[in-house]
Amino acid sequence: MSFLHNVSWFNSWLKNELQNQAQKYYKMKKTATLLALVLITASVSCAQKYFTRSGYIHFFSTTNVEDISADNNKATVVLDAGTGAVEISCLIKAFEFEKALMQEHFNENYMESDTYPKSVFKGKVENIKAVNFFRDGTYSSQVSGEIFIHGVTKTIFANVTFVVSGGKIETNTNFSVNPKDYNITIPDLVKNNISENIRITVKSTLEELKK
Amino acid sequence: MKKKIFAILLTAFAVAAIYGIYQWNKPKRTADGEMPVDTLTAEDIFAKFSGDETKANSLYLNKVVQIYGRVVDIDSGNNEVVLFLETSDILGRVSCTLIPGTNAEVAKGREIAVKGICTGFLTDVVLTQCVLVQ
Repeated sequence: MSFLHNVSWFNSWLKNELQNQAQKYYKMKKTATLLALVLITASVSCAQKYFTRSGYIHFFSTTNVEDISADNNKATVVLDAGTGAVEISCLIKAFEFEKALMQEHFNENYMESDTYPKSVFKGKVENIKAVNFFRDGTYSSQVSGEIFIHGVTKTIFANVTFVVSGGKIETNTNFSVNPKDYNITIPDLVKNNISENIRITVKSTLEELKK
Repeated sequence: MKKKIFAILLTAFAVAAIYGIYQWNKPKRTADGEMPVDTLTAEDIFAKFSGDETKANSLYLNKVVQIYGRVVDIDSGNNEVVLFLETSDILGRVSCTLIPGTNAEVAKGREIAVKGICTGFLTDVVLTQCVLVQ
């Protein structure tokens, strides 16, 4: 009898103990989740984003026959100061040429901007931690990523400079592209007018993105 | 007979040359003098592009549209004036670049009507070669 009594006592003790442990465990888990949430929020608010909707893109093609250039100052640039992730997008139809006819040919014959209205670059700035966005100065780095032009995606590398001044960041980078790499066919008649090494310059003044 | 052929050839050549010069120097297309394909508010055109960009592109890309909206910002750098029209999105706007050389006396906060060529959608719906509609 007393043995049975002991067993039931043991059972209730075990039940209690298990419940306690479970409660403790849940409490701990709750605290851990809360802590993680706080940490994530903190790191998100630290990883400030910088942005502009008036980024400048210039391209220049030079041959013995002629020089061709165009400007676009409506590019969107987003830079994540925490991770170095960068995204640049621009509209092909927003490139302005000196001559209306050139602009027409660029859009209709070469870039087919009705089918491919925009170009996008998605990449990463190397060693973004070396750039102090809170301290005025000039910083150099490299950027690499994928560029999408005329339906073709290619990997590109470029040097980039950041000039931090009063909370604003000026960026400057340039690289070259060959129209052939992006399935842009140039008729034989004007083959000598368009370079195979088109220089692209991207400049922007980024400001902190306020939510 | 020889003279006649020569005259015809000369005329043909002159016509081709004039056409070529005209093409080379033809003015840029602007929204001025073109009838808009649609008239809508900044809010509506933004909603169409953010909802279904491909469909909105097929409706408006490279076409002249007339937009009503409130000016939230004006950017007059780079020798051009850009008017930004408000939408209910935090970041999204309708950006309207006026025809270069336009002397626009527009103040922030004003409700305006503007006509422009739709060039596509980034964070904003972008209109270029715009003209203010009275």
